[in-house]
Amino acid sequence: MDNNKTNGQPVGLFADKALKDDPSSNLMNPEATASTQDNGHTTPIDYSADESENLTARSSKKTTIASGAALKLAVVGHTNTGKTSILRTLLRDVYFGEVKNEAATTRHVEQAKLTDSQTGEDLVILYDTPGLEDASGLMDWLEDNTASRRDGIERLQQFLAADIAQGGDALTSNSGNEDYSQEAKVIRQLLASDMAIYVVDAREPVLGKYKDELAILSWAAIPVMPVFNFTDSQEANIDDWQTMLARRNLHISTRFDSVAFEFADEMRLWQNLATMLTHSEMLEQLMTRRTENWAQLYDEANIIIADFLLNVAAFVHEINEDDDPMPVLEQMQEAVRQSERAMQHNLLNLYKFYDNAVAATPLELQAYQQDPFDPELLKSYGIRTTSGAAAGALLGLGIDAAALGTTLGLGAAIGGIAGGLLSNTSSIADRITGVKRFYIDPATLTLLATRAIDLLTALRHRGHAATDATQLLYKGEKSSIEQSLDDESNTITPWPTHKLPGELKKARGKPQWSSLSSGKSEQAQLLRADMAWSLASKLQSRGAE
Amino acid sequence: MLSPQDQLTELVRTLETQQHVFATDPLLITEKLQGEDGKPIQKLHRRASRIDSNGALARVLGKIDGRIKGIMVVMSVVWCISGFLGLFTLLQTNVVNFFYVLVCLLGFHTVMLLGWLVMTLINQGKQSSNWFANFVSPSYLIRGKDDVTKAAVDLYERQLQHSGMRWYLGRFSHQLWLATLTGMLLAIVFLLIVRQYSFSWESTLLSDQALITLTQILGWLPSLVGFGVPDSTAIVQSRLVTDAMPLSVARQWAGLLVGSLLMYGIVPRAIAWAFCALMFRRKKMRLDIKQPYYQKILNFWQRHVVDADDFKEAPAPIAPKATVSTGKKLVALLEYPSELDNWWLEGLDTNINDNSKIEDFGIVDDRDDMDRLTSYLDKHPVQVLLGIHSKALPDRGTLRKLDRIAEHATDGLIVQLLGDTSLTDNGININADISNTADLKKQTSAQVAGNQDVRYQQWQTALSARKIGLVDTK
Repeated sequence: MDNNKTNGQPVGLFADKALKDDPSSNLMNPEATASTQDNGHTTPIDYSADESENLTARSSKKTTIASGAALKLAVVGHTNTGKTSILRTLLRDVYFGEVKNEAATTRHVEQAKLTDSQTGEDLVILYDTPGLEDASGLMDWLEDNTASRRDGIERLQQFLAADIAQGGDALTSNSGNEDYSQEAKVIRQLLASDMAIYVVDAREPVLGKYKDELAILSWAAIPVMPVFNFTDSQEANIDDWQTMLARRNLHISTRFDSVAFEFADEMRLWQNLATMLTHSEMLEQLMTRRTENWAQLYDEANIIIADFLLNVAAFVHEINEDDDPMPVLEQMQEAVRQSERAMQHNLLNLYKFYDNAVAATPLELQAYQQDPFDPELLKSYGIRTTSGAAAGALLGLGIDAAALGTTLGLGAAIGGIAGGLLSNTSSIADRITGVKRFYIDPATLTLLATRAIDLLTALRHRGHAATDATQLLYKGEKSSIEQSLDDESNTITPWPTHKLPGELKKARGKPQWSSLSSGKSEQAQLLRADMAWSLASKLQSRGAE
Repeated sequence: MLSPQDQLTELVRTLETQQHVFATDPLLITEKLQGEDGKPIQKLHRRASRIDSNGALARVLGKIDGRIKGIMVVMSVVWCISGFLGLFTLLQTNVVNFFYVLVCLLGFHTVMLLGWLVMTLINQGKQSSNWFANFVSPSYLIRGKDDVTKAAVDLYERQLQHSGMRWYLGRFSHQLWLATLTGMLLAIVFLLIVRQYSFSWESTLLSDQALITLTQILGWLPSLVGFGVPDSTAIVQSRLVTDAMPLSVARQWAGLLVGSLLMYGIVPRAIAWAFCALMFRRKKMRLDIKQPYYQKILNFWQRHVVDADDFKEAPAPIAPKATVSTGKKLVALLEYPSELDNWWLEGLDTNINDNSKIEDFGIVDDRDDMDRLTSYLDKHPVQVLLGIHSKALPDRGTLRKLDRIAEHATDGLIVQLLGDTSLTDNGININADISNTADLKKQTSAQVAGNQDVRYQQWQTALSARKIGLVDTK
């Protein structure tokens, strides 16, 4: 493990600035500077002045943040605890930084802004920092080289000014293994931030090095919020940790699993951070916005699903009585497969899980790759194919035929109308012309709906730090897959197969609603928009149950 | 304009980005084509035609193309007929004013041709999109609101915007002129065959001599290809003719008229037409396979595993094997506790039965522990056996502790990596609860085992760099 990355390469944004000029971070945010001055918190600093004077000047400047300014939040913690993962999840960005199971993956400080989705103003500026690796060693150094009568910030400033805190080329001239340039970056960022999140790998026991880390953090004199990552694991030692944290006056902590995402946890995290601040307007704004967006995303996702189901339900193909149905059936199946995939991709994109090499999406799971027309799959979801019109040669093909020309009399055709399956006029016309019509059968519709809802649940509970398909599937989804594969009697289909929602039934009489039959996707989508909306609210209410 | 195959490929691309449902699954076709040979562009063409397995897309494109060509043919015919009729009406009288007719035949044509030439020279190298595309839309050609038709119309509109279209339209306008001129030629030839004309000329300003020179200059080119040209006596005779003139003189004039139409009308137009056709071919719109969409597919096709992965173990550094001395031992755990009480028994030789030779330090965690350990080591010459939990991460702090212990252990330091049985079992159990799918289980357990291997290797690397022996527990 060499220091390739630190040598020569430009290191984090504030790596070489924080020591000299704290306001450099404020330069990026003129509002902040302006407002702090208005409030009279700042004393003009003579930067050419002596180092020690400088120290005191700056330490007096460390105050609570002004109202309206973006919160500068440093994410710190021991190496390999998942700081970058947490940022990925908070930013909903699977591409942020680099995540690996080893020490010192991140070696720079990286800034990322959380902005108001409507006004675009910066609400929170997050800083991803390198992991603390040797806090105990640093503590030794601080105790040996700084005076205990100085306050924490002064002692940290002395460390930052020392040789061992210099990275890059300065390091090579230094002998020995005393390299604290990573820690220096963290501390520099801490001193430039309003608040810090201390990320804890909840699976770790409480060790001495972590206590040292917390001691050093406390010297920076900014509010620190411990956040437990990987809480979904069964070996989480949260109780031990909380006892230890309480002894260090850190009574509020938050669980936030970056992989098994819970929206409520994220809100609690912001809420808890807000309690530690005098001016927490931007956090409240962020929470409101995020809650709105989250609900809106869910609405949109349900509309995507409903729209897809209606599109499939309205899909109809007509052939002559004596034509061979097989090619048409295959064509229909193909169309449904492709539009299901398109729907899945829309959902993924909506939740910002883009098709990429960085992280696998749940779509790579076998459960989503199986053919919806595979009778085995249907069985595994516990869906029984319906009797009635579907019976006969077409059973198991996932397609209903309404053969009105010969097999059923006119009376039956009218019965079909009464059942709301077919629209009135055309079916009688069909009887005369001898036309067979094919629909996607209710069982397949139910299966498609179940799968889509499962996928949506999985996406809502997947952190953007999750890197492979199997990683911590949401429990709801787990159980549905599990049950579906073992136990046929127990299903979680959104509705019983024989009781399709009214919207879907209605769609069967409206071939013009389906872009699959008409080929006019825009028009068809407009036609079914109202119905999609109403079906979506039905899906949503079922999801809430 | 793209070639028909390119058009189909582009149409598939446009539709696929709109999530259109095709006759055959594009993913499937792309995968199948991976194993096939062919140039990238050929494979893209093949892919498009296979995705469009029922020919629906090709049909729409063919329809538009057919209609464009049809319109061009119809227009050419109409222009040809109008040329014919125009000349027919012009030559109704028996005495023809030669120069007046000639200007009617070629005057406007020559002005237009020169205008085109000038414009072409001015616009040389300019990528300006042509005016034509601004008010002509292919959507007039085909009705239909379905996705395929819309995409096809868009595709044609995009092609109209291409700079190469200038030559296409130039070619088309020359074609129309050619049709008109041909219609005129046919009319003249027809009328000269069935009627007898007298050719006269009149002028207020020009003298006979000037006319003779003019006629001879005009007749030079037609005479080269064998058309009869009136001599100076014939020209003088023809001034203000009102009656039938000698047939030989009339034939000479007729030859000049037809020859002029051919040499100053049809031949330059045909050359311009050929030039445009050539330029159009050279500036042809090509499929832009540099687009990410195509590149993604082509990259997928280019990848082939020619030799399967049979990689066993990274030739990463391996920690030296520990030599257990016979002297006194001190055993300690680094940071993490162990579930086993006498974890060291596994690593040390069993012949050390004498427990008095083993000192158990317990866990070395915080700085006080370290200080106690180092001061003990400074006083007692012992070999240290350090138990490191496989969960522990070899970060800088941990390694510094290791170095410090190694520095102080006078009889050497050896390390035993404690396999974490609970972690592996637990890990699998949790995941087994979650998913009974064999597939999932396999994946997750492989992942847990993989994580352990990674950690083990990280320790091996760290230990070998420090030349610290690792106790073999396997």
